[in-house]
Amino acid sequence: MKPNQQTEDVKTDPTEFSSTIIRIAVSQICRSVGFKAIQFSALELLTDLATRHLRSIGRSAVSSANASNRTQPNVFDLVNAFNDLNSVMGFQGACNLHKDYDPLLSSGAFADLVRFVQCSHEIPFARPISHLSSSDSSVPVVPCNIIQRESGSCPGHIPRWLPDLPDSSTFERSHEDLEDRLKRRKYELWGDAVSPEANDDFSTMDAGERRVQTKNGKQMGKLKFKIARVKNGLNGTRWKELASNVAIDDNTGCTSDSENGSPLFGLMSENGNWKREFGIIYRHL
Amino acid sequence: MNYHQHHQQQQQQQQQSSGEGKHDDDAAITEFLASLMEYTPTIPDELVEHYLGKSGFQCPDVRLIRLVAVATQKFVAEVASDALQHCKARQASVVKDKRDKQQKDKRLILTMDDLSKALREYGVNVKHQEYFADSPSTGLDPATREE
Repeated sequence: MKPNQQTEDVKTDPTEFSSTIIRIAVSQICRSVGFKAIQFSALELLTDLATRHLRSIGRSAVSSANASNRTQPNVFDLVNAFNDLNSVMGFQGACNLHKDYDPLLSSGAFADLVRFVQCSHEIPFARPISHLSSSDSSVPVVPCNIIQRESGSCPGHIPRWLPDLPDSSTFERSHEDLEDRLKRRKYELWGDAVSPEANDDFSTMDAGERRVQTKNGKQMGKLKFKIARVKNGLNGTRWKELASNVAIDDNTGCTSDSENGSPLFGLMSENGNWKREFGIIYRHL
Repeated sequence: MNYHQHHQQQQQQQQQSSGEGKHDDDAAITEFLASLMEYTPTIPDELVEHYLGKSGFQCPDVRLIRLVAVATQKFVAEVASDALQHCKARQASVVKDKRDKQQKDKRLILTMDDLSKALREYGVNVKHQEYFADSPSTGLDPATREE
C-alpha cells in the first residue's frame, strides 16, 4: 500500500526529511491495522500527530526530570509522561497513581504498553535511511556528543548537559593572511571597495580621466573621507564638500598632502569644477 | 545509572512492607526493557532521537528511545484502529445491494471523516468547515471518491 501522493525524492531540508520518514512509518502502521488506502490529508494529519506525540512525551519527561534536579530523564520520568498523555483517554489504575503504597511502575498505561509490545507483531521500517545529518543542510546542527563527553575527553568544568563546543577549525587562526581569507570568502576590505572610481560622488574622474594611483603607481589602498556637506559658496554656487586628505597621485604628480595646496589648486583651476578651501576639497554640484 | 539511583531513593522513602511487589515490578521492568531491544519499532531510532532532541531530551540509553518510539507507535495504532471501527460501522449501516457492500469491504480507506471521529475522543479536534454544495450528493459517500 502506498499513500496516494507519496513523494520519492529525498529532501535535503531536515524538517521535510524527517516528516517524510514519519509519513512512511505511519502508513505502515495503518496498513498493519487493516486499512488498504489512506487519504493524503489524513496521512498528513497522522504524521503531524505522531510528531507532536513524540515531542510532547519528550517535553514532559524533561520537565519532570528538571523538577527532580536532574538533566537526563530516566524511566520514571518517561512513565510519568505516559500517564500524563494517556490521562485524556484514561487508563486502568489512574486513580491509584499517586498513592503511597502503589509504585509508579505498575500504572495501567505502562502495563498497556507492555502488553502492546508483547502481543503485536514487529513492523520494521520499510526503507533504508541515509544518514540524517547531511553536510549540505542549510540549518546548522548543534553538535551533541554525550558519549564523548562522558568518557572524560572534555574538560571537567563544563557541565554535561551543555552542547559541544564548535569545531576548533572555526575559531583557530590558520596560517593564511587576513586578506587571503577575505578573498577566499569573496569579501574585500572596505577601503579597497570604496575607491574614487566606484562612487561618482567621490570621484575625481569628473574632471577628466585621471586615474587614481598612489605615488608608486600601485592601486589605491585606503581612503579617508568625511560625509559630504553641501555648502553655499560665493556667487550662489553650491559646493559639496568632498573629502579631506584625499590621496591623489595622478599623472600630473599631485600629492595627497592637504597642506600642499598648489597641485590641487592647479587641478581645480583647470576646469573649474573643484575648489579648495581650508584644506577641504569641494566639488561643484 | 540514574535508574538505580532513583530506585534506591524510592526504596528508602517507602517504608511499607510491599518490598516484594516492588522487586517484582523492577524485575518486570528490566525484562521489558531488555525485550525492547529485540523488538524493532516502526519509527527508526535516529528519527526519535532527532525529535526528542528538539524537546531537550538527551539520553544515551537506547532502551528509553525505543520506549518512546513504541509508545508513539501504540498511539498511532490505537487511533487507526478506532478509525477502522468507525469505517466498518459506517459500512454496516449503509445498506445497499450486496454487490456494492462487497466492493466497499475490499477497499478500506482511512478518510478524514473517520479520523476526525476517532480523534475526537483523544481530545484532538479536526473538524471540516461546513460549506454549501451544489447537489445533495456531494460529500456523502467518500469511499467512492479517492483523492
